[in-house]
Amino acid sequence: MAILAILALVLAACGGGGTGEDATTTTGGAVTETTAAEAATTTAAAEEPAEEVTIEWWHIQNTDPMMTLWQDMANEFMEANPNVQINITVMENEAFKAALQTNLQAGDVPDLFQSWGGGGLREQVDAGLVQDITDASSGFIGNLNEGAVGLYNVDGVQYGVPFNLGMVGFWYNKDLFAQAGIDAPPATWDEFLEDVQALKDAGITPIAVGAGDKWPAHFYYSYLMIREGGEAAMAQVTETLDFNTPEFIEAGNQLQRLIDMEPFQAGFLAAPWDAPDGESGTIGTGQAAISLMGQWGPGAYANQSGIGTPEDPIEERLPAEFGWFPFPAVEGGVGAATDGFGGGDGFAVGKDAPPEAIQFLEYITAVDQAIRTGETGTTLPVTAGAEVSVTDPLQQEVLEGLGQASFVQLYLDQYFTPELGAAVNDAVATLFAGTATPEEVTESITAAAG
Amino acid sequence: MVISDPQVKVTRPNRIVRRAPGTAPWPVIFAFLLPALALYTLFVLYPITQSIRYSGYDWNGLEPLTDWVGLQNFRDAFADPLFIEAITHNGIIIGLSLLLQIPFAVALAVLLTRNLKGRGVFRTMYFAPFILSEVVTGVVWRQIYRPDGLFDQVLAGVGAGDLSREWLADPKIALYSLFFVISWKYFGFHMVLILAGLQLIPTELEEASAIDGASFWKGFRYVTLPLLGPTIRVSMFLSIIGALQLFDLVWVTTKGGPVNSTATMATYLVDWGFRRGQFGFASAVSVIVFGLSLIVALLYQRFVLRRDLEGALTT
Repeated sequence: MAILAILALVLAACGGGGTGEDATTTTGGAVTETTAAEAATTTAAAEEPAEEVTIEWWHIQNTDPMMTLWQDMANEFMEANPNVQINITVMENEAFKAALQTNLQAGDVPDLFQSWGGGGLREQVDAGLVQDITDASSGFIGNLNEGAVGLYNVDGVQYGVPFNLGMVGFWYNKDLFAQAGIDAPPATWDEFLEDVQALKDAGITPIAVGAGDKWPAHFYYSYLMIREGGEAAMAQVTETLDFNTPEFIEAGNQLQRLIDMEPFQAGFLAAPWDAPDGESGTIGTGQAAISLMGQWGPGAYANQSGIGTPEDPIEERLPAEFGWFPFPAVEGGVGAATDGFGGGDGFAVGKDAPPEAIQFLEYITAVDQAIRTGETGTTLPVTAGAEVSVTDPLQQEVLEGLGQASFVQLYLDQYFTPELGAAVNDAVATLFAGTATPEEVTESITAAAG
Repeated sequence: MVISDPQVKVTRPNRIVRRAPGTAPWPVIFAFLLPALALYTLFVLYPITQSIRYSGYDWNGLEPLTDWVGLQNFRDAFADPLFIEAITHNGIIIGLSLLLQIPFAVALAVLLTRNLKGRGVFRTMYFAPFILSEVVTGVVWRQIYRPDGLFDQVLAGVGAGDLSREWLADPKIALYSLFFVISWKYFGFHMVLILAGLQLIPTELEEASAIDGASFWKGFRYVTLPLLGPTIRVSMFLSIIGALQLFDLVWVTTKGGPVNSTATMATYLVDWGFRRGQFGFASAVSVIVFGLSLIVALLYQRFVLRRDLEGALTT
């Protein structure tokens, strides 16, 4: 079976630019005949029997409701376009990254695959592994959020389509804040540190962080970089790759102030993001009050809480009432308090993908479908008119924060090349472990960039 | 990426191909060897050659191989304190295994050859961890070691709660916590090897020494241990090779963290290959690991196993 499937794939890929019927026998003759017949009778678009194509689609929405929703949408698209076969491969985030790397090296590029844009996409562009869809997508891409679309644009050429855009902020447990006598979320970094102290004094673990996975820790450092240096400093470092600037060292100093308070859960240096013993588990079971995370945070806390079933609304599955506040302003920093840090999800289009793959992206980002993704409470759709679907009060707060942001910096570990991104994450982890000073952090990142 | 896997050379007599007179053996031999040889070439020799080739390039795994840098990747690797640290960690695991794990296995094996009630049960119990996969072991122990997990609760239960540590999260002790898991998993295997060795020692020799008035300790020291020599040396060899290749368990429990405190050569090279996408550099590291393992294996065979390979029975 597997060999047949691969064969079908190879032939379908080879037949992509050809004239037609030669590829039809591979995926099973019976299916072909019936679908061709249906196509002829049902849709006007298929006046000639359309060529059989297969779309390999890799995504990382490996939990419900999104996993089922993607499958539903693929089924709908296949029904409407009987000549199209969509093969979905669902993987967990880290597993996906490793598997994709292997496939890319072998030149066996999935037709549609999860992408965060940034430096990783640029490397794929340089290697000619992704497809220029500027023209093919021009009919619908204008309906999508410009900032999100821009993440998949390298040097003016479009290589992918976003479906989700959010930003990182502080999720907090309102019950624990009340217990510590905190009545309003902090507006400045100093107030934030005071609240952390108040939580500690009340015997509550203030913060959970998955520093073992490193990227959750890099959120703190990145946000402080943005608050200290603003858009200008980020533009400059993109150009010079020199992190040894007063702003970034000061960002490290500010983070050091937080780390010195020992605000994190026991064993945070080994904790991953999403596991019972990780950041999401600690927050989901009410054992810590604050988590700096993106829009997907509450869904993960709810999955680890052990309360209710996945069908229940997220707020009913959390251990307490939760709230969200943006990363506070930092005194003396150049960056605006409304500047955001985050990113989105989208699908890059592989080099051999058939035109139908882009039509499928048009389908899933069309307003009706975007509304369905928004209604899950786990996704912030980027299609104009789909904002109304975000009814989850927590997600509405993120959306509001995003709306106020005039500048949103992409996650640094995606923004730079994978090598430099890893260096940023590793260096920040040493700061959390207390084995490096803020100066050593900027020096080691700069050294890796050189 | 290649992690070397030198096989243990088991002593065997020089093989003489016996053939009926008048047959031409070579084509036949070749025909039988061909499938294995083809697989070996495809999955061992070819990847090794490719790794060596990639190791000379600055290559992110995606673009064509164009950026030839000669030996620069090797120089970079040895100049990286984190790689030296990773080698050191492998060295520490080797040292601790030889000093603690193997003597413990010998002691248990000697204990379990005596007429102990239920020794079959003990043997099975001690061997059981070995049949678990490393990944399963890692997942289970990560939960046992987590803060306020089973390990801490047992300590608290016996009134030793003060000894609780952040077993995997404290960079100072994470490596030793992992060594404990490695020992837990593999001591049973070494115990079984040594049990087999013990059974090969004729009981007459031990009886004779006892009749001559040797205490248990002297009998063990001067009769049993020398005769166990070949088995222990093979056991040590397997332990060294295993420690050089240490990967799965570390990757599942700590991924080499926190802050590289449990990084091994193998986690270092996977990190550079798959996380950073520096496949040229990672290939250079894999060649270094291969070379180191080969040197260790050859030296061990040359200087430690030589007499065993020649068929000597004692030290």
